[in-house]
Amino acid sequence: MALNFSSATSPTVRRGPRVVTVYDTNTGCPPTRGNPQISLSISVTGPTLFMMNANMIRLGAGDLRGAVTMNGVEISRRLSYTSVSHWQTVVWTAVTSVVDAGTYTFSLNGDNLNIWGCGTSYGKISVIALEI
Amino acid sequence: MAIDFSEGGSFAFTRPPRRIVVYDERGGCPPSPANDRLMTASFTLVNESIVSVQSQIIRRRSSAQRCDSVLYGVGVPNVNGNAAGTNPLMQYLSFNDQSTVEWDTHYHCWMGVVPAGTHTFYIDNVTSGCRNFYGCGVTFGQMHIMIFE
Repeated sequence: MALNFSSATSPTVRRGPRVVTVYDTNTGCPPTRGNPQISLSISVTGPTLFMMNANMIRLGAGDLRGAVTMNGVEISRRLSYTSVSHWQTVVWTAVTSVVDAGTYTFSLNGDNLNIWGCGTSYGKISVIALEI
Repeated sequence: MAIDFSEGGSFAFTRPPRRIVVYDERGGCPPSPANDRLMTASFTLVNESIVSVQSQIIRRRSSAQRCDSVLYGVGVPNVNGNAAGTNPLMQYLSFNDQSTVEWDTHYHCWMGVVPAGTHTFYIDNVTSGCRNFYGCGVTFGQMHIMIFE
């Protein structure tokens, strides 16, 4: 379904865009926890396109990977490598296909646990919902 | 509990989405700038809007050290909800783990609600001694901004 932007003042969309952000509020640097590291759920009532970005730091050595899923399906996977143990920021981005009405959960999961996060300044996931 | 958007929220399009792209047009690879600011974009909003910012810039690492960069927003609410002044929106934290010369890419991203008015988003080096390590032309440094007003 294409957005109709032929009118500068009245684009054909069902609703205006909305945005939500969830920060990593766990204490600890990094905290001891399982997956998901952070997540958020959004309910929409019609066809919707989501724009997502997320970031979180990790502490460790070697090839450390994480992914963001939407309802359990990976939509962005990133690899982060350091030869010795260091903090490093990892960023995930994705734009989804148009999905039907329903509830959608975005989760940031690490392949390794207890290496991710250091509070609100270093971890968040944001989603823009465009109901069309 | 899922966030329920069925009520439609308080936002409505007042104009089509717009896009701004800013490139790192400083000369040099990396350049030797006079200050820490790497890329800057300013724009004016008539209404409260949703804004998405994504940026990338490479950094040349020549010694084992930490170099961080931050995406700032002027008049943009951050995690604390403070919309006054200049707020850090995302810090890219990066260590060099070797003493050899390496390039690495810094990424920044932010989405949120921005009030009406003129706003400036910019990327800044925030680590002493790292100012001259960022960038290698337009191919390796961009800031992309989407505005839903």
